[in-house]
Amino acid sequence: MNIPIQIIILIVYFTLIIFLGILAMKKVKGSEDLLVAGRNLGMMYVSVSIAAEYMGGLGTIGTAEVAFNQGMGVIWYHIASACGLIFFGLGFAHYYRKYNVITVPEYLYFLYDIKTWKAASVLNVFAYWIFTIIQMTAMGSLVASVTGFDLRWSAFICGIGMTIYLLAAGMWSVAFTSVAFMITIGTGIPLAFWWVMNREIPLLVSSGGFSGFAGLANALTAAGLNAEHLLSPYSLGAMAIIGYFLGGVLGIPAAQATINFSFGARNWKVARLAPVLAAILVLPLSIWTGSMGLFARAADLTANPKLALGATLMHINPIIGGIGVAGIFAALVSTVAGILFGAASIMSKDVWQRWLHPGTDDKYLAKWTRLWILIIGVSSAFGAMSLPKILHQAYFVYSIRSALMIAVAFGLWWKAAHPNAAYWSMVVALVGGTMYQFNIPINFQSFFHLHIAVWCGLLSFITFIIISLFSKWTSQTASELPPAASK
Amino acid sequence: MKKINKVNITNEELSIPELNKEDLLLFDKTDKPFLTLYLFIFILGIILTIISI
Repeated sequence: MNIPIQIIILIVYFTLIIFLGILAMKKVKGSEDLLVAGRNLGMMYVSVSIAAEYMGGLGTIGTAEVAFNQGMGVIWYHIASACGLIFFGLGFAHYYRKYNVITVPEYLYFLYDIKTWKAASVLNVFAYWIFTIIQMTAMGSLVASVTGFDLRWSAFICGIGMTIYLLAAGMWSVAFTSVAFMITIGTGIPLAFWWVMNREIPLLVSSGGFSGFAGLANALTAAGLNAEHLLSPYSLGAMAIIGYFLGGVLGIPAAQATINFSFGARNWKVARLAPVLAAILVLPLSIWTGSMGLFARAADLTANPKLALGATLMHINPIIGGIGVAGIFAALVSTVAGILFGAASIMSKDVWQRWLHPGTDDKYLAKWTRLWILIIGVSSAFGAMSLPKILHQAYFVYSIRSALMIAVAFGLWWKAAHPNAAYWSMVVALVGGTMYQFNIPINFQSFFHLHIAVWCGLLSFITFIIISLFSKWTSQTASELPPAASK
Repeated sequence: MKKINKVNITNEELSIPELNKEDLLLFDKTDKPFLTLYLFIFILGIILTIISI
C-alpha cells in the first residue's frame, strides 16, 4: 500500500493536535474556562488564535480558487481582512473586554435593551450554524482531494471529529493548538509558495526556464490565458475590492467566532493590541495561496478551482507539500473550532442562561455548553453532507455580521441610537437578506446587482437611522434599559 | 486620635482602588516563546516572499 508522504504528515500532525487538546483538558474547571479560557489568555495566544481563525477555508482554499478563476486581485481579500482586524482592535476590542462579556449579543444588551440582545442571539446562532456547515464542507473537500475518499463522508467524518475534539477542552484547546496551527500555516504555506515559484515554475516547459512571476506569466500565456490581466492586483475590478473592504471592516468587529479570543484576553490592553498583531500575520496569505492557485491553472493540475491549492501541494516536494496540507487543514480546524464555539457560547450563555433559565449555575452551564457543541456540531456534520456552495452561502453569513456591527457602532458612537432601531435593523437585515439571497419571492439580484453584504448593510444602516430619528425616548424605553447603559 | 481616624476613613472613601500593574501588562513571561515564534514566522514569510518574486 503506497500512502503519500503528505497524508502521513497530516496524520502525524493531527495526532499531535489531539495530544495538545488532551493536555488542555486539565485546565477546564468551569464555564469561564470553557468559553473564554478563564479570561487569562496572553498577548501571543490571542494574536495567533485570531490569525489562525481568520486563515480558514475561505482564506486558503477560497482565495486560491478565486485566483485560479480571476487572478491575483484576490490579494485584496486579506488586505481588507487585516484592515478589519485593526479596526476591531483599535475601535472595539477594549469596549468588549472592559464589560467582561462573553458574546457579542451580551454586549448589545449593555448598549441597548433586552429585545435587541435576544434578536442578536437568534441572528448570530442562525448565521454561525450555517457557517459551521460551510466550513465542515470545506474541510471535507480538502480531505477528499488529498485522500481520494468520498466527499460527502469526508465532510461528515471531519464534522464529527471536530465536535469530539472541541468537547474535550473548549477554548483552552483552541488556544493551545492555535499555536501549533500557526507554526504549520506560517511556515508550510510560504515554504510551499517559495518552492512553487523557484522550483516548479522553471520546470514547466512553457515558462521558458524563468522562475517567479516572470515564469508564471510565460506559462499562463502559453496556456492561452491573459497573463497580464491574471497577474494584475486589480484583476477582480473595483467593485469586488470595495466588497472585500466592506466585508472585512463591517464584518469583523461583530464576528463572534473571530473576536471570541479577545473576550478571553488577560486584560483590555491585550484585547486591543492582539488583533493588530494578528492582522500583520494575516496580511500576505493571499499572495501565497493566490500564486499557487494560478500555478495549478498554468500547469493544468486540475479542472476544479476548489481543488487548486490541494492539487498544487500534492504536486510539489512531498515534505513541503505535506506541511502545507497540514497547515491548511489546521486553518480549517481552527476556523471550525472558533465558529462552533461562537455558536455554542451564544446558545448556552445568552439563550439558555440569561434568557430561558436565569438561575442556571456555572457547573450546569458548562454541561449545557458541551451539549450545545454536540448538538450544533453533529447537526452541522449532517448538514455538510448536503455539500452547499461554500462561497455563495458564506457571503450570506457576512451580511448578517454587517447588521450586528452597525448596531454595535451606532450604540457606541451615536447618542441618539435607539433600542428599537437596533432591534429592527437586525430583523430587516435577516429577513431582507434571506429574501435577497434566495430570491424570495422575485429575483432581486438581477434587479439591484448588489453584493449581498452591501445589500444587508444598506438595509440595516438605513433602517437604523430612520427608526432612531423617529423613535421617542419614553419612560417605558428607559425602564427596559440595563443600568450600565443609561443614555 | 479621633481626627486621625476621621482622616483615615475619608481617605479610604475617596481613594481610587489601586490598580494592579500586573493586570494591565501587555506581555508577561508566558508570551516570550510565542513572541519569538511570531517574529520567526513573520520574518520567514517576508524573506520567502521577497526572494520568490
